[in-house]
Amino acid sequence: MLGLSLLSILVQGCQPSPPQVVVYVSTDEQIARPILAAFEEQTGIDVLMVGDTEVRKTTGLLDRIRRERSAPVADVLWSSEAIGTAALAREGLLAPHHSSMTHGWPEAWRNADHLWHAFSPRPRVLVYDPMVLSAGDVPETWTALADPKWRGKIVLADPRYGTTGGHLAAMRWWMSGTPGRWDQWLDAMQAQAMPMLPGGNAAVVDVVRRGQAVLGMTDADDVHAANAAGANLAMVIPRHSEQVGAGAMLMPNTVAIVQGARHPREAAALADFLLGDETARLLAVSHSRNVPISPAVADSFPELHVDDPLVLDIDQIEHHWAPAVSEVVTRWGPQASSVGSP
Amino acid sequence: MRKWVLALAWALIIGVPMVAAVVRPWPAAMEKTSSSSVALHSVRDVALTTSAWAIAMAVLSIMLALPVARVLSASQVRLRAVAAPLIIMGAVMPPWALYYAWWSSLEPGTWLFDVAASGGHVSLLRQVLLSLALLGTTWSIACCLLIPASMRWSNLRDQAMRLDGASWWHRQWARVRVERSGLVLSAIVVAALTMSWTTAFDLAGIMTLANELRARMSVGGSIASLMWLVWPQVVLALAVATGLWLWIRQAGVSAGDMASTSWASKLLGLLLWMLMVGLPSLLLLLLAGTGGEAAVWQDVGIGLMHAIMRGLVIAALVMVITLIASRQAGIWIAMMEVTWVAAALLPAPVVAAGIGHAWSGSAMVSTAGAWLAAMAVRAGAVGIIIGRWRMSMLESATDQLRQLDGTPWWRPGPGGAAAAVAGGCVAMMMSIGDIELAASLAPPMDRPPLAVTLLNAIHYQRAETVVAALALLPLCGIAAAVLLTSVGRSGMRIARVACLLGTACLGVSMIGCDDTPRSDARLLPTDVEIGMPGRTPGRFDTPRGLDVHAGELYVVDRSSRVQRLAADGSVVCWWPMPKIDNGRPVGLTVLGDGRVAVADTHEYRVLIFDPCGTLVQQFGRYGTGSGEFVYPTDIAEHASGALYVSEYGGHDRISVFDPDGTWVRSIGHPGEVGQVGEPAHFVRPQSIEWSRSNAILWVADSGNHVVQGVDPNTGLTRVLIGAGMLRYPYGLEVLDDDTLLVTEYGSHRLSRWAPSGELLGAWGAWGDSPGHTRMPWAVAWDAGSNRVYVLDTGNARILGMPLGSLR
Repeated sequence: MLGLSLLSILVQGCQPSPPQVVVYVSTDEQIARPILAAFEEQTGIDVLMVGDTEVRKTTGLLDRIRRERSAPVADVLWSSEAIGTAALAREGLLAPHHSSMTHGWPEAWRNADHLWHAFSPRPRVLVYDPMVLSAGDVPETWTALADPKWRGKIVLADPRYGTTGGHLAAMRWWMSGTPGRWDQWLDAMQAQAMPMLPGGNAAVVDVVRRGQAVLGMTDADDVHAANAAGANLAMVIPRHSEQVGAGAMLMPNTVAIVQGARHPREAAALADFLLGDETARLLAVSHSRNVPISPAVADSFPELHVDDPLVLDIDQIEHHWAPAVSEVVTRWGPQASSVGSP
Repeated sequence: MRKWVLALAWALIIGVPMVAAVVRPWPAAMEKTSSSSVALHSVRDVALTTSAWAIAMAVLSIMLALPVARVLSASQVRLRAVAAPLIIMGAVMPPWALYYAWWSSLEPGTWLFDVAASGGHVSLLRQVLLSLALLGTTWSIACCLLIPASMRWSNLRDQAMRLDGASWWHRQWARVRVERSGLVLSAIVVAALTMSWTTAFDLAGIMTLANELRARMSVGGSIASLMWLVWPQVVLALAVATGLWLWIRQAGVSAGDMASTSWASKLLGLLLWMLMVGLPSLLLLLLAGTGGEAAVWQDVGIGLMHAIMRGLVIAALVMVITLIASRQAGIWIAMMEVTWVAAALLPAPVVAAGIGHAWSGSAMVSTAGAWLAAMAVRAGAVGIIIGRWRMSMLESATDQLRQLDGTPWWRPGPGGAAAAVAGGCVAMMMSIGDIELAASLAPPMDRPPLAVTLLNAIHYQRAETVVAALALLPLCGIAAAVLLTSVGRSGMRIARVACLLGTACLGVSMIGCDDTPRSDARLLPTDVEIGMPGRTPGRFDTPRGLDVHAGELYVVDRSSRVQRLAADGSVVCWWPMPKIDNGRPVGLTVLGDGRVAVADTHEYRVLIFDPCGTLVQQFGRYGTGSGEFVYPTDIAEHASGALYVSEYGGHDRISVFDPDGTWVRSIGHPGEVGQVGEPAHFVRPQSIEWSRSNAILWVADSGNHVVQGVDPNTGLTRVLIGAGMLRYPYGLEVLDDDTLLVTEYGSHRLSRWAPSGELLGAWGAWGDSPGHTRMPWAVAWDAGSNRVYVLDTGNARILGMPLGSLR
């Protein structure tokens, strides 16, 4: 009996299978599933998905793709952030895909070799409780968080996962234009004694909601999700400086085709669908409130428009990720308290 | 034979990953980051934190479990009637789910949270709740390990010591010395388990060694490069496993299997379980909303079914292992069993990484093989422990005689079937709640594993999903526990059926055949969303009535507010219902002159307000006579100004009133819908609308699952729409081409119908994501903008879309 059971492990498929595509998705399942269902309905291609938990966000999926490099299981990676995707591109794990859907989009929203494409970003924000803090008191720039009056009042997620690390990498990249600026900011923020939570951006929002912190560095979609569940939180979208092109940090979704994908044509179809207007619209009306890049869709959602965002070079930012995370955890770690510890 | 069966399973699940971790090269890219450069917390700090928690949980578990174990041992209950159900019910709710239940029950605004916040003790509150959550599992494990130890204490010895004049402390010390092996083992096992958990500590914001290890691995550290961090845990796991294995072998209590049972002692264990697991689950159920659980449970239920199928596979394997472990063990079997138990005590990230690395590139990964193998690591250890425990209860001669008789190992001896089923049940419940392994190793599927869905629902605060799972999981556990206690002579049949079921499920789950039902409806072409949950202006609490007039939206909800909104969702004005002693209104209609008529359902009347809430007219009172209502639901204004009011409550009908509220006549009767041409019968007519010519009164006859077109003069049914195709049609709107828009509470969709009864299109499916809806109560059309608005009640919002997109 055990032998029969083990034998069946190696059997692939119980019946001739329809066209299918395997996608690794780090976006919230509840948001991703209807979009993938729409793709299935329109194309007749079955979608099999692998998700990850909010705790580990994309890192678990990236590890899987690396582990499977000799025999890829995934065809498409749909990531809720960009830095990890750029890392896979650098490691040669992605295949180029030229999409007609991105015609006319800014160059910054795709890899130079078309190894990945960015779409439907959401801004990095500071979340606060309007019953505790008035809107006028909230810092308007990320660098203003170093003000001593915020000592012990800021919380952020563990930068080794997800968009927090990506944002810090982007800041390091942006500040690298001025020698010493990044180090100065690190030193100033070190004094703020900020807890770095293992539970991700959602944990940051919960801590602010419960009054254990005044300001939280998180993503806009996590704030929207909390408010949809009955919270009454507000957020601001800080700039990085007053310079043009140094505005808000928009953290994009990215889509890429895995090198050696077993279903390349289906993968290309899915990638194009994710970059299309229907997906952009669905994401814009979702709880995530992603910002559409396509002008045709963006016109329908003026309230989501973000003026003068930080101009990104994601491939360059990826090079800054490891040193940024390393420097942050090294310098901020010893002074960081844990929210749950005495 | 059994040695080779165990060896094969051990090789696949333990041996190959062990060897591969050392021999097989790890991907070079994963080595790129020095683990020390991404050390957020020092090893010393996280090790101290982890050790502190492990010791604290060990002490607390023993403090809680020892009195129960002593009572149970003193009452000489059948061990199997108590021990295994205790473990099952303790394992049924993962600690992270229990923590969420407690934490969500103490929102800001609750007394306990506010007290903690005012004193700056929120962190302390988190830790207390985390302790309670962890205790929900650990106390039952400690109890089971303490029962045999407590049974060694003789009441005769206690009486003798009393006669000798020994003090209470002296007697307690003597008893503890007798129980010491159980105490030490319980402490060590609970500590080891606590150190291996990750998710509950994540949610509580506490960094432990396992979490830190996982974080370092995620930024590129492989097991090989992090071995210096892992090997102390490996050594500890081996030491604990060896000690446990040796202790279990000689823990048998031959005198424990007495025939008498004590309901009081069983009740004690059940009450303790209710406190640790049942209470937080119940709190969450009570605090969550009640709208739409059925649909959520349907979705969660599918995930649970899949999880149970996989659990049955694991259970089948564990039952085999339990039978193997129920016989005398030679040195090789002993080594395999000890290493297996040791592997189960390692942190889940280590297990997942090891198995994933070992089987990468093989079909084990692309199917569910690697995932099941990882779950089998912990589940198999449970089978080994239970099997060895049962073995220790047999007389050694019994097993020797069975061997001499040539009894096959797979034929269970006395109590063997029960032990096998016990192992299977515990393993199945553990596998259902696993999350770390699922997140790392689950193959591509139509939907993620239940536990992953559940944890993400926790993070994104979808309480309905969490509540549904928290309701279903304990039911599963109780069912398993009841099954176990009823196992007797039929145990072998149950064991066989379970094995067969497990094998059958193996094929399905491995291959990943698609059996997920898929909706045929298209998504709603929504282009605007208005509102969100809440009780402040612009937000809704279960909105149930909607109408549109001159481009503005009018909504009434369960907070008894009527809100008038502009098309962009901004609030023009709002007002509360004057009286809500008995309940809230469910229907609302804007009359031709702009006045707002509200079916004040549970106050048995109709109220008419001016456009900003001044009450100008009311009529109706409770009753079944002329001009009286039981539960009015909707109002429709005839071109003549007459008001038609629908009602249900046992006297389902439609009553006609003059514009001044004077009753004229009634149409229809309560009951099952008849044929066309017969007098109209209704079961809960929820909405009514006039056709363009005012010749037909359309009735959303929700209880009969049909829309009726009724002749208002004769009261006869002229048209039946959607018979056999609609489920609880609640909302109704007539367009300028006389087609009907219908929202279905039961099918969570919007459909469009020709007046002849032909279905022209259907949109929407259950959910809260774009294009989805939950229990839509109403629909309205604005002629001016030619837009349609669907009242998405379950998601507390209004969905807007151009009429042109509904073709």
